[in-house]
Amino acid sequence: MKTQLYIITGFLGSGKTIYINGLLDNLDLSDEKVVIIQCEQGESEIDNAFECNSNVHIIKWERTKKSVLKLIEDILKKYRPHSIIIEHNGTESTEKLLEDLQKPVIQKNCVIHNIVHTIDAQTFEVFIDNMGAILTEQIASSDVIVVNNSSDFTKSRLKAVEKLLKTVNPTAKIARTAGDTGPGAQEGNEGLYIEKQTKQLKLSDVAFFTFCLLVLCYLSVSVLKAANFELININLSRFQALNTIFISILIQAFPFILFGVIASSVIQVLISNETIVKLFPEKMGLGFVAAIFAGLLFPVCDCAVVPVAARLEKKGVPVPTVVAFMLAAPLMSPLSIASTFYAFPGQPSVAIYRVILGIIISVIVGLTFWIFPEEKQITLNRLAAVNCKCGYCNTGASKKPASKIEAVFKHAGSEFFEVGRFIIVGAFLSSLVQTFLPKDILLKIGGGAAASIIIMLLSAFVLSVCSTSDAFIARTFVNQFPMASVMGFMVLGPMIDIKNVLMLLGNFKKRFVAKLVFLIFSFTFIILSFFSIVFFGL
Amino acid sequence: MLIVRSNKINIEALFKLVILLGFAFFFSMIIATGKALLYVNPRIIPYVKFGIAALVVIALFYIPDVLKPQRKANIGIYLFFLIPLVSAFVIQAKPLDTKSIALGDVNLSQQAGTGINVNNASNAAAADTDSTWQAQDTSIPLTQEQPDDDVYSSQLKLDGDTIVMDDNNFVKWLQELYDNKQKYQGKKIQVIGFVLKGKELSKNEFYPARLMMACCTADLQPVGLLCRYKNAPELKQDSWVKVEGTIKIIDYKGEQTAIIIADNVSNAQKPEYDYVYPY
Repeated sequence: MKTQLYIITGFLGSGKTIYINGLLDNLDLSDEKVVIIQCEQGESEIDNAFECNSNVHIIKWERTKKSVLKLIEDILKKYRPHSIIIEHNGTESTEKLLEDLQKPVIQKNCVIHNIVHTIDAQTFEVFIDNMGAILTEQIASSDVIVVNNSSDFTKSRLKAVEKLLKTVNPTAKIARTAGDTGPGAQEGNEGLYIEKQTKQLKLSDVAFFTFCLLVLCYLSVSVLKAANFELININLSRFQALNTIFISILIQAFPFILFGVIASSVIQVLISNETIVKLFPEKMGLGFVAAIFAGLLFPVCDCAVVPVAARLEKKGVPVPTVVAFMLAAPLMSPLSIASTFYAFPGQPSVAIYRVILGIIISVIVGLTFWIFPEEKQITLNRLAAVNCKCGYCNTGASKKPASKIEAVFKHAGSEFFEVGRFIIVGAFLSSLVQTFLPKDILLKIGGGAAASIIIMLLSAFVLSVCSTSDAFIARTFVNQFPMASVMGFMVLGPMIDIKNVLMLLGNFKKRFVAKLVFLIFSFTFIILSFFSIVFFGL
Repeated sequence: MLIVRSNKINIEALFKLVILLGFAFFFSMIIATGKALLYVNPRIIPYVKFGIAALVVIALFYIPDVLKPQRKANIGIYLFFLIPLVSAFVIQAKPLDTKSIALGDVNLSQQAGTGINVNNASNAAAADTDSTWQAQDTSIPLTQEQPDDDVYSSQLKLDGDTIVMDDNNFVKWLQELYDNKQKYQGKKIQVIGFVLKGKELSKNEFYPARLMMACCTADLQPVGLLCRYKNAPELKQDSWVKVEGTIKIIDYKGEQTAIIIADNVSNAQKPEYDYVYPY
């Protein structure tokens, strides 16, 4: 049997040694040899009872004197232990250690059983803010996180700590050591020391499962084809149509999202916070102007603007400015303006009104966020940057241009996977609407001026696919609905729709998204009602 | 949450690689085979090409990571990407018709049904394309200035004395016939479209319609000119026909509208391109 490796990480005084004592208690020391590698000497020591046990060997190790590879090799040769416990230095990278342990010689004889990170609840909140990358990296690479010394914590404070840990490492098991008397101390401590194999899959299982699924798909499709075609034809063609629409939305959205995440990564990696903040003038008024006209330089759909806006906010641009930018950019983009001209030729006023109304609404919603500021952080995950595996956010800036380019694309990749799933869900919902909701339902509702505006705003939310096609969709409503409400469709569509809300939820807090959606709807309604009275006397 | 373990490779990086390259491959494949036109407007294709490049470049940077083992991987979020990727490959793209999109569904029989929709759409589409920017060369960027009238007149040519509406100029002709209808009173016209009927139409009326795509299949809408033909009741809904007739300007529901008085309607092959484009 392979030697089991236990890796214990954590800062000095966070309870590593206490944990090891608990672990030793749980190992069968009567006929299993255990070697403990200590990288640093803390206040606590391994219990005397264990130190005297002839099956327990403690080895002090300094990285500078001996490599991990050599050390483990020597230990394996000398003791042939059942387990090796590595008490790792709290200021060194776990990933680095894991990399060293990947050497074939070690791989052949050892298997990593568990990586445990211990934290001291008392100092954790200070550390996480100041130590940043080194701490989050250790947390992120652990299987188990042990929270010590939380006995005087209230339940809610403890929850906050655990939530923070979950953000950094969503998969780790969070537990507290025995003897800890904090609220609910013994909850979930099962398997704390010796890991129980729970619902974890092996790669081969996944591959097998996927293969079976594909075979099943293939068989069912061929059976359906062979079977009475007429009978199932209708359902199948509906399904096929749904899939075609779904994929088509993704095809046209992906390039824009990729553009958005790359732009966001360039801002993240190449442009310093100070420069970005300086780009938007300090005075709120000028800031708005800059935010609104930034859209002209940013020729993309609404899908691309969300990650960029979230990035600007994280870089320190004021929330009202970010909101104004996010709402105005898709309407101000040359693509969207041009599409309006094409959709309503001979009526340039339509395009002009659309832009002006868009600016007015963006500014008003932005101003509302200025007058009633958000007290808390509006973006998700204050640790998102450290959680990012782009290699840049974790380890800090490298001066080499080559590695910066790598960082841009890796960061773009991880953002693409973050944001992409929301667009996929959104695109699926939109395609369901397109396939199954007859458009003429809208026409049947009709109604007065106010009602028609509301109907158009809601259908913009549901039907809008991409800010460049909104104008063309809107055009089909011209004969049934007053111009003001069709205008509402075109103004609201690029600002907010199903997939956009999902993307916002992926980047911003729920509270903020709810407020934003509410404000956009209310102000668009008010302003368009006003618009329709002034221009059409309705 | 799906957690996978491996001591050999980085599973997350592997999944990322498969997804990025999978989509890049799918996009390239549909562009190479021309199937892309079943999904998006040709104008979107340059963007898709950019997308392919971006996907491949990002993927390249993930390759070295695959061999750096990661003990535990949560692959839950990658399923979101694998599902459309698999369905894109497994389920063939389908040229949509009025049966498969909601707008042409049940409602053909109802007053506010597709017919009216078509009518508007045609007006709207007609209200659309004013000049030549949607020339045959689809690579002209959206933002290009509209060429002046000289260029324009050289684009929409009568074939002898006959208007021939084809894949490339369908929407342009609709627009032209809406803008300058009087000019075409009594001219011969030839058009291929699918038969679209609605309850609000008279027995002898139908639309030889085409589906117009502004951006992607999600925004398809039928467009076409109203046509009067004595044998219209015999025409089968959604079948492709070639209509030969004469343009007549009539007062239709209070508006001067160009319609076709058909002399001859014959069965036709489905055109090469499934959709027509406003630009």
